[in-house]
Amino acid sequence: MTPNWSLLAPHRPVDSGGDQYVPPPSNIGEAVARWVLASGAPVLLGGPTGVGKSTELAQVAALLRRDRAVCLIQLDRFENMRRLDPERMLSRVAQFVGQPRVGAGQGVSVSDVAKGVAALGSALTLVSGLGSVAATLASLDTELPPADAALSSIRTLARLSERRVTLLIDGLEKVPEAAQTRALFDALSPLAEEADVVVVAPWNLAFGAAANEPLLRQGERFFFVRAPEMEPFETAPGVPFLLRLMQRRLTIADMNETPQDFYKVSRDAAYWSGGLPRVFLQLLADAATYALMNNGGEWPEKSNLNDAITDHQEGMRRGLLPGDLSLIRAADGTQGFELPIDAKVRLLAHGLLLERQTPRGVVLQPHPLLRPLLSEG
Amino acid sequence: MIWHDLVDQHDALRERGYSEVAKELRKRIGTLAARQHCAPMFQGRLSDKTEDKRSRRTEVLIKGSQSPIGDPIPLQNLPSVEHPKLWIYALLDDREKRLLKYTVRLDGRWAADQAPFTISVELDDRLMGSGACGHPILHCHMGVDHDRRPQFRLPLPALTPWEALDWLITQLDERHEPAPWPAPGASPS
Amino acid sequence: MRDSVNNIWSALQQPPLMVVLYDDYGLLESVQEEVASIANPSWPVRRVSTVDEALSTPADTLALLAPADEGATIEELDGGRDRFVDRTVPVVVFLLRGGSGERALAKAPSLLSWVRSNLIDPSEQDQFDPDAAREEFIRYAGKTPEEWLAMRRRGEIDGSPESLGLTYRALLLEGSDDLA
Repeated sequence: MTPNWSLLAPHRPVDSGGDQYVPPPSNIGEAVARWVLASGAPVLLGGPTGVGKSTELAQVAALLRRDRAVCLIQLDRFENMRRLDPERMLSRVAQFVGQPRVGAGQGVSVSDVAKGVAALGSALTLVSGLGSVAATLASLDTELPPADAALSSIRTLARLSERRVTLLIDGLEKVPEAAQTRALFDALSPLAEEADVVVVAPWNLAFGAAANEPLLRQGERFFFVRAPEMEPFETAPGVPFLLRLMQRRLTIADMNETPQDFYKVSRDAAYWSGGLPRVFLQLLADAATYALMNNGGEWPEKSNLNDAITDHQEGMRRGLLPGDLSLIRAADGTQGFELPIDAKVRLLAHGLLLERQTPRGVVLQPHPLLRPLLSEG
Repeated sequence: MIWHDLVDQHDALRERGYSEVAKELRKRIGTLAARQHCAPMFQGRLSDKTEDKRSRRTEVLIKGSQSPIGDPIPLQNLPSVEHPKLWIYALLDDREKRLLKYTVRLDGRWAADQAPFTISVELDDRLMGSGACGHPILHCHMGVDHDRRPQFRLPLPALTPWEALDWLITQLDERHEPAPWPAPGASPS
Repeated sequence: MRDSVNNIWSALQQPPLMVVLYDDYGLLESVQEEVASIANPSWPVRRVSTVDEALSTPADTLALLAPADEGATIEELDGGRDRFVDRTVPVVVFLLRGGSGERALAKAPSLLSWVRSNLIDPSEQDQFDPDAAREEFIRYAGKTPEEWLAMRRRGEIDGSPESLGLTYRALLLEGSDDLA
């Protein structure tokens, strides 16, 4: 059996409810879903790039589907998040959740929408769900301000579905400026009165000084999606998690079906990924391409992984600004209090520094792919 | 005199650089891959700019995975031949934009009788033999194999390496024809 | 074995986004042509200069994005990379090496996490070491390139494919006086 390596699709999060989902050791999706059901208070989800935030958000959507009218709004699939303003964001929310004036005599009845919602199930995604609802409601027009339109649409959906609405908003981590972030979160605040709100938090909130500052209202909860632990390597929970992730994507039922060397290559890739699923999948995908290209091989070998590692190390270097290596060296093994906050946010967001749980608390460690650079002096 | 004219034409052929030669050959390999005649990866193995800055020469080849010499492209879906292997080499002085030498060569066996054959188009890097008639600068060899092949050199018009590749592949599969005859009744262009 | 051509080929197999650095504006068109020559010939090719234009190309089109304002383009791609998630053929972003776009990558974690291994800098990767190549030749052929070519002039080299490859490599490595 030769895998279709393109199925690794490192840039693609697992679809909500998809059978490719593998729970991470932290089981964070389940923890978030439990929190939402128990408290209804807003949730912020933060973590480095490629750690699986979008996948976990999609999993939360799947877990809440039975109890909530879930709207997974992947804003970044449609917007340049760096230019997103509150009105635009609220318009998207309103558009997704369903437009107002339902049943206002514009050709679409409440029952039409109810039927549409039922046909979609209670979990909607902007990609699949909005298409149907929006198509149904395409002839509707709204002159309401976006904030009112969003509020009204949430109430409409809650009424039609007879369930509380949960908004899961993805993509806000790509909003770079604190002022822009603040404006967006302020705009979401009224919605949190009507619906559960779970958002992927911007870097400056996930890692910065304001990481635990209330944003929407008191009682909110911040969940940090941390790269799974990779040490001690032989027993670290991150290794089997990543291997299962790879197996699921490639539809490999049993690693015994694969060449023995591939198991070793996969474990090495897991080590070099630092536990970040995207990096792990990228390393394997690149190694597989090198195997095909250089050896005509169907399975990547150690030398192919080495080439992929070299590519990634060069790519990692692009995330460094002058002086970063010194900062990373100084921060290694510390809690990072001495790091300038801007640098800390940036290095953690890039995954160049990783937070690790140790017996003496959470400490920072350089990403394994950076180690050769750090040892260059 | 035809032989001297041919020398001039072959010499004019040399006025081209790495970029053009590599790109055009890659495109042809991509087309071969799209027609299922070879694995797509070979398009990505012909080759980066392998330039020796001391000798000022640049080599174009299918980069070898295990050795300093190039690899062949195993061809597929050519019904008349079995196990065909295609070698492509070019040597340039890229600073002077001068094509110094090239070889496009195919070895295989005829499917009908399993007889081996080799066919290669070669642009020489220097004047060889006694003259322009006996040893044309751009010529073709065809024969049983590389040792037993007849030592005839068929003169060719001034074909670029990629045109030579077109010619060679078209000899084996006319679906590759880059210059089809006009349809009956149409005026030739 | 890694070089820029097989890195480009590899990145072209892995949509949605890749980055190729170039040295100066005079080379941009040539680098774009090189990328197009490595791509599947059945892919339509479109040259674009803005993210919006790239977004407007069909998902199965090779979009060659040479932005006028590289820094702003990288910021825009960082903020909206997921708009490209469904592409089946990549968008290739061309950036001036050491220019505003490449510098902006360090502040574009979302984009960089997608293109980290699909970021090709030919100037870094195309390093040919003639001394190492000469040693490799001697190990492989048992002779120096000059000795090999002397045998060739005497007609002592057979016509095998291996000898053909060694002759080309010897011509690459030896001094320039052998060439007519």
